[in-house]
Amino acid sequence: MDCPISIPEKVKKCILTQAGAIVYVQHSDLTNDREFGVEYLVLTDKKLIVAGKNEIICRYDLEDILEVFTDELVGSGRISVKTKTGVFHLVYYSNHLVELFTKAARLINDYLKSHPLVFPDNTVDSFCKKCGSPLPERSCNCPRCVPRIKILKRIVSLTFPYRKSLILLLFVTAAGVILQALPPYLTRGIVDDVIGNGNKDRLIYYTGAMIATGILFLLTRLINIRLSSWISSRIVSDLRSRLHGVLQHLKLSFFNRREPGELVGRIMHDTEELQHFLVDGLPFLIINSLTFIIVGAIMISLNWKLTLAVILPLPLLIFGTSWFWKKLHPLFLREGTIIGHLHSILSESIFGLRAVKACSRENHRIGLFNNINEELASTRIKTQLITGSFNETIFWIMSLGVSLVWFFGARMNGAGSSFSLGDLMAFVGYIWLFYGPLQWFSVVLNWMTHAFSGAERIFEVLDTIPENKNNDKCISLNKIRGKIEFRNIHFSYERGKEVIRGLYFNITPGEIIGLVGRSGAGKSTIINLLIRFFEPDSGSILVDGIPVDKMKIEQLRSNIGIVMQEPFLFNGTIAENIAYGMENVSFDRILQAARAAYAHEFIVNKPDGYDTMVGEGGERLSGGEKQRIAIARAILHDPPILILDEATSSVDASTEQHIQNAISNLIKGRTTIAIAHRLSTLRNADRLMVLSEGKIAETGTHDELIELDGIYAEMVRSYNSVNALQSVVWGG
Amino acid sequence: MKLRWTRPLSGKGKEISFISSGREYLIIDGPHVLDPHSRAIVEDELEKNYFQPEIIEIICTEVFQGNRYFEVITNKGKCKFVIKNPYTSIRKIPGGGLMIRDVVGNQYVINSLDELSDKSRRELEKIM
Repeated sequence: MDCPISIPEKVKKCILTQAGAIVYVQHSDLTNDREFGVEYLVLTDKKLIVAGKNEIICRYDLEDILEVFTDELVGSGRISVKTKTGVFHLVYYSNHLVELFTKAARLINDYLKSHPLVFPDNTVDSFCKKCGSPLPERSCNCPRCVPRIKILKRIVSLTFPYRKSLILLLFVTAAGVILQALPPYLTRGIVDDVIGNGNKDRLIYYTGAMIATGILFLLTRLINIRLSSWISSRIVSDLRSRLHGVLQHLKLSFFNRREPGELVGRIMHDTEELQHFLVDGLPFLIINSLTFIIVGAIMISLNWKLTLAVILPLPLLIFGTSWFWKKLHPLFLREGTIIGHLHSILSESIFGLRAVKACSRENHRIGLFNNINEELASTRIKTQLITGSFNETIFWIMSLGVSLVWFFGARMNGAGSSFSLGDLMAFVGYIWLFYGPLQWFSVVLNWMTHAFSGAERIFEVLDTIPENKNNDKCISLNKIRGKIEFRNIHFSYERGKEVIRGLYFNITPGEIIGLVGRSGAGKSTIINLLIRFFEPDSGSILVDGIPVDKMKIEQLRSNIGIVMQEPFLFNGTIAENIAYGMENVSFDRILQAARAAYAHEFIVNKPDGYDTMVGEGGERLSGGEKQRIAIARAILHDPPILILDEATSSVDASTEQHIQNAISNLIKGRTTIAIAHRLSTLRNADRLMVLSEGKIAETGTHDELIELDGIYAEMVRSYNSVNALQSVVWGG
Repeated sequence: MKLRWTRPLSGKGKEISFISSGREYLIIDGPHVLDPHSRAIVEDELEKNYFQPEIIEIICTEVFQGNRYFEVITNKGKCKFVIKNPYTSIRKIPGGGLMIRDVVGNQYVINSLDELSDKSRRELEKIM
């Protein structure tokens, strides 16, 4: 693979004559003075060079270099070189390039060790190549380059499954518009024909026609309301289900960056806004557009000169509309953001109620909520103020048009003129029908802006790339034995900030492994990678010799049982929670699993036994009870691979004994990876792996590692001293 | 060895932590406790450790799909950046200023809102 980045010709020539053939180039976005600008880190077959736009800044012979490494600074990063004579800083870069420089350092080190080179994918960019805007997500499409009309088209495309009803709606709407245009025409007949010409006998026909038109118009409106309500409710219901479905399949990294309240807001509030627009806004938009066209055509046929007077204020209307649009759009977005924030505070207040009460922070929470609530109120007041002013201004502009019609119309109507009094009366009737839609447009604009902002946020979720589940080449295994291999795994939750740095290990089927390390060493990350909650940046993970990304994700996960520190139970019965994820499980098997998990006794002691509702998140059960239900669930699933993530850390000593017994039953014959802070619980592991700074620092049995007197031995010493201290404090 | 302000927002110029491999080896009350030579070295290193361009002018801001786009002139040059949620990305700092953290973790500082031009303040108000 060729190096993907080019450098200025002048520097290139300079390098080629002085430093050999170019192997790899990475540009920075900061200069050495830490100002925004470009410098180049160039690896040739002889030297490592830092070059500016016009000249070489510094160079190092490859044979003098011991290592190249990156430093994570605050708001930036730095790549440095360690030589026989010391450490030298090469290039600074902003966080946009952290990922690429981390990979560059790895590539240069590989080159120094004569390893095969894997060039980083420089197509991953932080800025849109088309408009130059910064991208809100790594390698996403630039939202600003999506035309607005596309959003409208997407909203309209949501109606496609209901096109038959929609066509009927449009037909009824068109009929309603035509019926609405008839009364002024009939008024003209009464004025000119009945009053002007004295044909009193025709009055009954004109008034009868007026009443019939009114009844028919009422009917079309009723059908219209019924149809539009049904269609919009169906669409929004579909959209909400789709959003919820998409959220279930998104990568966990998506949720890392967002608050739950914000997402709940998107599913509930934004879809409501869209429904509001689809129920009220879109039908009005269609009706009034048709009215505008039909009435405009009738007015031109009556008197085109007078129609010009009506059209005169239109430029003012268009200019005013665009001005107010610009003012309103950010306010609506702000409203959405504040509501999302309010949801977050509300859920924090409810879920964290115990902590709030324990710390007597009720007043602080009330103040926090009130502040944001107040902000929402003031934003809404501002929005209403602008909307209200807009409506009144529009009304005033329209009144101008009416005055102009009276002024010119009255002058046109005279002796010998073809423009009769009936024509003028009809014209005045039509003018409000003509301006009416314009007035409605301002209201629809309000809904449309709300709906567009909501739709943009909804589409952002819908367009997020889901986790790469299965592809056509996925391998399906009948039975997994439980062999696990990690080969040179690198992983970062945030760009360039590696938490796993070149991890290698093998676990044989049935082996019990204890993962040990300080907080943040990467223990839980290993589990997340194994079950593919996250994908590694590089390297491969194999189960039974097959890369996990080549396996069907459902099959992989169904073969891995997980018992977490705080297991999540769903709002249902205890029996349902034990059998969660399995169908047609006999009660007998549930019972056996509960017995093996030492859960049966506490379950039958409850008034509703296995039919006990656990509450939302299992809130009606204690930590130890939840834990044993999770273990029963794992036993029932009978997975060949088992993960115990701090399974006993949140329970007291006597409950821990129950859980330890349950775990002993659970791990028999399974490949088990156990993470525990209580190091005593890992003594029986076949092998302990000690993680430090994203790598395996030590490996061996408990006794071997104690003898080694390294990180593990130090952890055991500090664990024992804390334990001794706790015994003194708690009298244990 | 990395040098970090222990309170980079509320107490810049006060305690400094000396960290290596995630462990703190030393904490001092501030640069003032050091001799002039050491102090110069520490201050230079801290300056290199924190890249926080100061926003002098906000050329324009725009809200699109819930993202807030900025185009600004800083003391380190002109740049563009984007934030997602103003509640989590913009923080008040002592002295009536703001610290803005963009989607990739770059930090930008407005030392005092009062020192911004009216146009810059209006642009900021649009997205806050």
